[in-house]
Amino acid sequence: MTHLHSAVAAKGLRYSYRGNGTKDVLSDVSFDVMKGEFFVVLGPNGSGKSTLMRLLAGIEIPSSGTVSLGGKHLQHYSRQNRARHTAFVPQILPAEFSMTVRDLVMSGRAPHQGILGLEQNDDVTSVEGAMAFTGISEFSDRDVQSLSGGERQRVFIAAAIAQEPSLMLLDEPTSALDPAHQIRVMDLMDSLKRERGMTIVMVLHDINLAAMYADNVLVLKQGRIFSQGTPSMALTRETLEAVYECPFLADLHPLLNVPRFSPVPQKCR
Amino acid sequence: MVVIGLLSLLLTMAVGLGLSTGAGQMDVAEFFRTVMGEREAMADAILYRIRFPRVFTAAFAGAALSLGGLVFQAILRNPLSEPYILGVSGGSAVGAILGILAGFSRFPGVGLTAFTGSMATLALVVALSSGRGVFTKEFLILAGVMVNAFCSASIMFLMSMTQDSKLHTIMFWLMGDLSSSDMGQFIILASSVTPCFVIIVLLSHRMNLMLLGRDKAESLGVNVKKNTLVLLIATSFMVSATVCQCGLLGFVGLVIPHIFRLILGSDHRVLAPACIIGGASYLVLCDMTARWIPSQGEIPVGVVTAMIGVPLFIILLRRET
Repeated sequence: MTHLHSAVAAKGLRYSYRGNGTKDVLSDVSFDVMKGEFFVVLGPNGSGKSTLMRLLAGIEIPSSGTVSLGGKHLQHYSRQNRARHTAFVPQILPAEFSMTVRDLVMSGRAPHQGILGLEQNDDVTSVEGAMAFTGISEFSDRDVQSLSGGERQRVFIAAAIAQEPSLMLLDEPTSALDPAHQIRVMDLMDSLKRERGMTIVMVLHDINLAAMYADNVLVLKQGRIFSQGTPSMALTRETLEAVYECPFLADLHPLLNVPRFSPVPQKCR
Repeated sequence: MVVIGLLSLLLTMAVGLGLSTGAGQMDVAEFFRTVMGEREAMADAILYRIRFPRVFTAAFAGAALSLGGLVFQAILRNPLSEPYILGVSGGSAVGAILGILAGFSRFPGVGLTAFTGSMATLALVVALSSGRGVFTKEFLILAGVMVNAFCSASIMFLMSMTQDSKLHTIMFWLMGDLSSSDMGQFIILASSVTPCFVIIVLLSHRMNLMLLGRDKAESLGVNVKKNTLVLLIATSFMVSATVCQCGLLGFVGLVIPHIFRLILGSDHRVLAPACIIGGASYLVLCDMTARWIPSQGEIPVGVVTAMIGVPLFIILLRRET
């Protein structure tokens, strides 16, 4: 029965770059994300988070193990069909070309269009809706090159929403943003989950943002799962100290009653 | 649509001007009399045997080179790319010179050696740069530069080993030469580059998506590796067909896509047809200038494309930044 409710699942995932010795970037990674779940992947730099997202998005093929989407193996999807179900917001957003905000958001419609990407009425409706939802309608004619980091992030999120996926994958969408924009992006994702039942899988560096928004978290260390579960269960001081090799202080968030962590500076140890 | 219409009008005018310019005494009035069918044997021969193939060869060559530049700039996401940067022009030049030295006819002999040369360099560049099965931008350009340097050395070597009579042919051809086009060669050129135009226009939206980066394009359902390969092969095919017919014509592939990118933005569905029509007009006008400026004989058209292209390019670049 569980596969009926599974949005995306990984089973025994292993990945290694060819010609990079025998060291695996990821090994023995298994988890199951339910439909409508907010799932956050945490871990230090180089722990394999980005690689995991690329495997889930179908951009890379695992060396062994499987990814399944809605209970069906990702390899059995056509590229176009996969793209209708899964949207991906990469960590590094390109900006060295001139394109209007509206045209960039329209690119998210490609999986629903023919080879030349000619616009239909439903494409326009979807793009207008995505821009309104992310609050970028007022600068839809601006060039993406002229946008700030926070604006650009919302434009790429709007393109992913216009794709009308059931699963949204985001690789560190908040790491280049100020706190206000971070919360804005997280709130956007939370409302996509609540209002549209979308499944959100996100890589984050900010443990506290993860604890505030995630239903479940996955903590990676050196390509392996270190802990997994609800933030209250999986995010303990012991876990974080072992994973990040740095002392932490823990308390509770006063409003949400979820764990909150602060790294301890050298001078206080 | 308006832009494409205006460009088509420009091309029609350029072709008209090109057909009525030349060494043989034939003014515009006589040109129209000939076209309208008031036949005069001499004028008839000049128009249909000499000028017609020459002007239309220029049109197809200009279209192929500027579209080639557009494709390379999109794939490499580097505004300075053109067929020359990847070593495709250089490779087909080496192949073509070997063909000329071996005494082959231009088509199919030299055409085949040129295409073999360009495909060999392309394969070499791709092999050098795709260690992880990914076309990394920096590696692709670096590999292209290295292969190009090798090709230049090979051309110099071949020229230094050549006796005088053939040297003149090769020299002229290296500077870009449209003077030896005839009807048969024009038809072969047109029929080899037209399918490439169609393929590239069909893939123009994919090129838009590939601008967003490999990961984003893949997540939108685009097979980046396959599309890149198809685009590179189609481009090097049409470039080598052009190179072996017209020699090395630089800057057409750099200037024309740049101008249109500045005016029209970055939608390749508009840019690709604009480069085809605009590049055709540009080379026809350059060739006309090459025949018209000197009082005796003519200068190689590659000299004109460079002399117009380089300053224009610098002005555009300065205005942009």
